Amino acid sequence: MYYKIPIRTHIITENEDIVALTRKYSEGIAAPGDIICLAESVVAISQGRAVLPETVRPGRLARFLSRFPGKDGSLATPPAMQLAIEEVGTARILAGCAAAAVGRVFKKKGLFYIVAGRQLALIDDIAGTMHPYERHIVLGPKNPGRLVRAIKKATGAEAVIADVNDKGCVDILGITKKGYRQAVIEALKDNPFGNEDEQTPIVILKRRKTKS
Amino acid sequence: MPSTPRLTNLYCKLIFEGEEQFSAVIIEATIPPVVTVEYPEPGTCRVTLRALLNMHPGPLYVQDGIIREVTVEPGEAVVSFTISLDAAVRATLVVTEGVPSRVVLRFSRRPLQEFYRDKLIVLDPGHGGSDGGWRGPVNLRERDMAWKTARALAQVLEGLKARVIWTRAEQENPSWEERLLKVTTDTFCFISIHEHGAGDTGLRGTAVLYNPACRGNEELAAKVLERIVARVKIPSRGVMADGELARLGEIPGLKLEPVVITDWVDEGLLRNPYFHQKVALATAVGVKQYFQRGK
Repeated sequence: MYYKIPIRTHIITENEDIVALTRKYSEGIAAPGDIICLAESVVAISQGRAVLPETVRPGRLARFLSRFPGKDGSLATPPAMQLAIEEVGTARILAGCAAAAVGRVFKKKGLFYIVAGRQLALIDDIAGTMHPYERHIVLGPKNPGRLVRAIKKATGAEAVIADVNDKGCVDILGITKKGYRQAVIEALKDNPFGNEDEQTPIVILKRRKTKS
Repeated sequence: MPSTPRLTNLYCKLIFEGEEQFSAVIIEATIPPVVTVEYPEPGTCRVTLRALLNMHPGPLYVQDGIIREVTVEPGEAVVSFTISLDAAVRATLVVTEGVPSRVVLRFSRRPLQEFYRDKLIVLDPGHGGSDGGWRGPVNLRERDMAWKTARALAQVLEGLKARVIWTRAEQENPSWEERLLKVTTDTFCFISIHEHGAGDTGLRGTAVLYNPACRGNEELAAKVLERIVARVKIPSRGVMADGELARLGEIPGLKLEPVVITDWVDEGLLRNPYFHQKVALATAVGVKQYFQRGK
């Protein structure tokens, strides 16, 4: 249904105008009916949500709780857990932990994030983001809904902010047209944003013309 | 789709076709552009496309042993790409239809294969068995990470037709003497793989240790270090002589310490499978560049 066009960008940093950048990189390609997709981590970085761990002071609770999550995921380090506590509050974190404990008994995964807040699943722990942000903990983006509307206004195309990984999981954080949701998930499953040397945080989904 | 091609992406990758390997430069466009390829001098390929530029024109550092880097020069409705090569190879050009259209330039990796063909390399993953070595602040062990990097390096070297001998199996922990028994007079290079550990949890970066008894090994270590640091973008801790490696005598020997595993960031880097592949490729390229210097 859509062609995928990844756009190579410069390394986007703090305080850059992500709407202006999206308009610049998609100029002459994206048209009404197409969908401009943005990687959530880059949006978050542009919003100043990349935090150096040495600027975080993990409390006792963070140090204790960071022992429990899967070691290959987020929140495995005390500073990341501290930021999670600051994002949603101690009460929700503890409720999430209780849910995770129940989930462990019944072999049901993901209850921590359902209860504590899905934004915590967006936290990229130390070394979870590519250079030059590998030293940072990157939180999820703020106001993705408002941002996609601004991108649509600036470009005329639909817009999406998504979290995608190499395991084929696609989480849509903001979308201008809900009816496109399933098509976007299908299109982004092979992670055209890339997780390595690719520098393509913008992907344009170009609508295929159907033959009459 | 607009009638003038717009360039959207530039990347490189390795292509494996049976025994053959290729380094490929791929330029993506909205529609197929008009392409011209020329070789102004040996080791330089210039590709010119009639197109507009949407993508970022910054250089692409490749360093895969054949392609050094690709630079982009935007002009008026024309974009030029200069590909710097480590060998005087020429590309085969394919332009694919579709969206995106792809301009694919494939350079044979035979010069690299010819260099490594039948060379005997002894790989020594540090520690092993009940000796886990240093432990990262979260949970990784030096023993397991050294094994991972060694496996990636073996894969690269065997793909380049080298002969690889291991000093240990995954669950073994032979003594240094037993490890050295694997070295024979026709050994081209001995490569030991470790991670550094330190009480100072802020210390991070790559170091390469060398055999001080073998002439030129300091430069060899410096070349390998330079390639690893450029490839994985990690601080350098420098090169150092290693007393244990001196027992190799005249045989070139290196001890790689890709990271300081006791640092949070460096430990995190080890979780990424691409990290081990990059260290492996950079090491193979660095060794080749040292031994072929001036040729």
